[in-house]
Amino acid sequence: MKVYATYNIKGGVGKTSAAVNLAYLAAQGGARTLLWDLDPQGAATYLFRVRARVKGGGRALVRGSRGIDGAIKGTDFDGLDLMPADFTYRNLDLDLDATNRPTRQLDRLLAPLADEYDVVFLDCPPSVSLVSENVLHAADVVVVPLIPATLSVRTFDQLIEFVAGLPGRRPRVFAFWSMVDRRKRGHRELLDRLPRERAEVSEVSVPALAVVEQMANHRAPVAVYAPRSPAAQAYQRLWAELASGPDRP
Amino acid sequence: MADSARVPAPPAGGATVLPDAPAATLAATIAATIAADFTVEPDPARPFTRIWLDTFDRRLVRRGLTLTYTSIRRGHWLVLTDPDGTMTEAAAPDLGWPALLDALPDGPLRDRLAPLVGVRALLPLAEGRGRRWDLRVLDENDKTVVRLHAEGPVRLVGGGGELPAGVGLVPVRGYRVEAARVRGRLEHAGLLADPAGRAAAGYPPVAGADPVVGYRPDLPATAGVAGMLESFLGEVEHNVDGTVDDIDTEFLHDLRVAVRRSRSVVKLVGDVLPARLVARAATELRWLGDLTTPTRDLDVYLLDLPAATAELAAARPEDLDAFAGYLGRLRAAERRKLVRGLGSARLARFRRDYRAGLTAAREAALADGGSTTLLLGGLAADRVTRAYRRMVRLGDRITAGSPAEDLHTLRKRGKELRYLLELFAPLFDSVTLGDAVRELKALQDCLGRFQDGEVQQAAIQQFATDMVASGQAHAPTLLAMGELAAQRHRVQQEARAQFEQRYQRFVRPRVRRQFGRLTEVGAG
Ligand SMILES: Nc1ncnc2c1ncn2[C@@H]1O[C@H](COP(=O)(O)OP(=O)(O)O)[C@@H](O)[C@H]1O
Ligand SMILES: [Mg+2]
Repeated sequence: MKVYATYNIKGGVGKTSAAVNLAYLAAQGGARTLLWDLDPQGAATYLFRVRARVKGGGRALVRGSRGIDGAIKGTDFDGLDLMPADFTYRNLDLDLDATNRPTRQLDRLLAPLADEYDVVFLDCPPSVSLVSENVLHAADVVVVPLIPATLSVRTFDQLIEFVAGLPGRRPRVFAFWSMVDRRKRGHRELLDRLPRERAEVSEVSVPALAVVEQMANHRAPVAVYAPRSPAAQAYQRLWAELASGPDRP
Repeated sequence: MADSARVPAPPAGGATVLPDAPAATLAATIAATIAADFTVEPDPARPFTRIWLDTFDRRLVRRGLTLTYTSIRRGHWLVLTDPDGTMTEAAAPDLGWPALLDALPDGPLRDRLAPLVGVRALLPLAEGRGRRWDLRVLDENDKTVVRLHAEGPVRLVGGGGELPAGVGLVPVRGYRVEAARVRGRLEHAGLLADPAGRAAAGYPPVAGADPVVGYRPDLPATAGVAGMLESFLGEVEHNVDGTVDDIDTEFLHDLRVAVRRSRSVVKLVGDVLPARLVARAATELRWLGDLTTPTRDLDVYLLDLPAATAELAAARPEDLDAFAGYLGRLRAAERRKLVRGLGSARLARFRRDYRAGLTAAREAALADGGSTTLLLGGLAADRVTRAYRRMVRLGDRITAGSPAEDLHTLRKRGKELRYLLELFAPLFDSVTLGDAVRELKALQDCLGRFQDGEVQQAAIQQFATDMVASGQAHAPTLLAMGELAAQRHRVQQEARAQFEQRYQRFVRPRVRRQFGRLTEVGAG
């Protein structure tokens, strides 16, 4: 079982869009795939037309009174299951803090699924929190959407530093450009430069396109309703590169 | 809300019947049936071909399960259907049949089949063609909560007739309540197919070895024993083709079980049959047993190898590849001899004469039916009691210092007792043999591990010697094989340590009494 987490401390950068599209492509490629929507806002859950509700909420999961097995829903797509979001996930930090290993609960919850899934995607809420620490421990690869702006490069460097300082096993960090506008000189300049300076930054970029925004209307991955669009192709390239990469640094 | 079902209305009476009509009609009926709660989204009807699968001994059908391999839209699907019509599906590669479970894709479907099918091959039992209409049942968010397959009649290939139309239900994970509701409605409307009944109608009959006679205590003993041996001969013959074609390892195993049982019958109760018939049978059955032993032994090593490999402590799994290859080559050579023996004139002659002799003996005994005739019930009780006593006499003398040979002999006697109990089980129906059989089985398992551990250790050493002599082994392989031998040694030691306790349970008063009661059945 390989665990990918889409992560960025900022919101609105394309984490959920990436998680939904990449998980769909993984399943299409034959991998038994699970997407866990960890964001109490439940955007990924909405996109798969599933009700954002987990019996017992985040607390029952974290306390171990319920496994995630019973809450998983089949999506409309072969080989792709969803662990829905729940509004109570907003208190997850407090719940985690009350356990004796507050940073290792996701690991524990995912362990029993190892035989059942080949690929797991964790779609994270934007924050630095116990939840994100759990994610960084549980993930084999942290997938970071980067908006081409100097500020986002700084926060990315901070993330790399943070991951390097983690005890025990560390995930591979994999960044890609998100919402790119090639007409902007700043974007072009960063896109050319950064992949050369940072090994973690891929050359693959997902352009800013209305067809991606339309996911909210179609409530489906881009490849389902616009299979030949440049956006679908970009996610395809992204998945090809991710899937062929090493597990860990 | 009925009009929200996006399905054409059923054709009016007398309308032209299109090739799709049965499936389309079915789909429309389904939509109408569940329209109050759900929307139904149909896909276009598609032609499919289907192969029905089961093991030689029908392990799935006997549990009310049907397994099919359906090719539709350039894809292939394995579908396991429960007695209630619920389906588990798995996308599959292009597969040829028969196939072993290893060939199936990893996943929940294979996990469910594994304990049922075991090492048996899945054989194609029937093939059919039909048209299918897939429907998705949607909730208020247009989320698929159940999938349905509406199928028109399926025409069987090879003039096997036609299977009736029906609907199958594939639940979506996490939507149990919805699936139950849809099922309830469809059931109520009489739309759900009876897949097992549907499929079984198209299966060829199992050419099994049914009992030749009905065993009753008042049957003349000669007729009962001859009938048993005739059944076992049927069982042997039943497994010859599968063994020759090497479909799976169970054919040979079952063939050997039938031979072994025959030998025990001949030895333990053969005295009620004509002496010449018994003498020849004893010789030929031993030959047949010996003919099959080398291949079966190699099958066992090869079947056990994955588990043994997983237990390696120091050596790497790939160190055993050369050993596996060596065993495979030995097996191929042994199988050639086996196949020759099974096709030999000697076996054909024996089969013919043996069956004729048994049938004649049985018919003569039934025709005679004199009042002095020994009856099957009396024979059974007498021989079981004697076998038990013989076993206890032997077992009571075994101490911690006894040689391994004594335990092996005890195991042999125990096997005989078990066979007798199995053979005569229909006669003992009225008696609770629960504890007796359970304790005997536990004791035999222990003795089996003891002996097999020893035999396999010696065999691994012999394999290693031969591989070195013929330049087929490198040091890492030999070291890994050393670990295998050590594993077997440990198994043997553990079994030896358990023996005393197992034996004491077997001879405790309650079990003794149960065996004692058998005599009464025979007398009464
Ligand atoms: N490549 C893109 N082009 C245009 N809009 C995008 C793109 N990626 C994401 N969006 C839109 O931006 C918003 C935030 O994206 P989302 O994937 O939910 O980000 P996050 O999960 O990081 O908050 C959504 O409305 C989404 O449709
Ligand atoms: Mg998001």
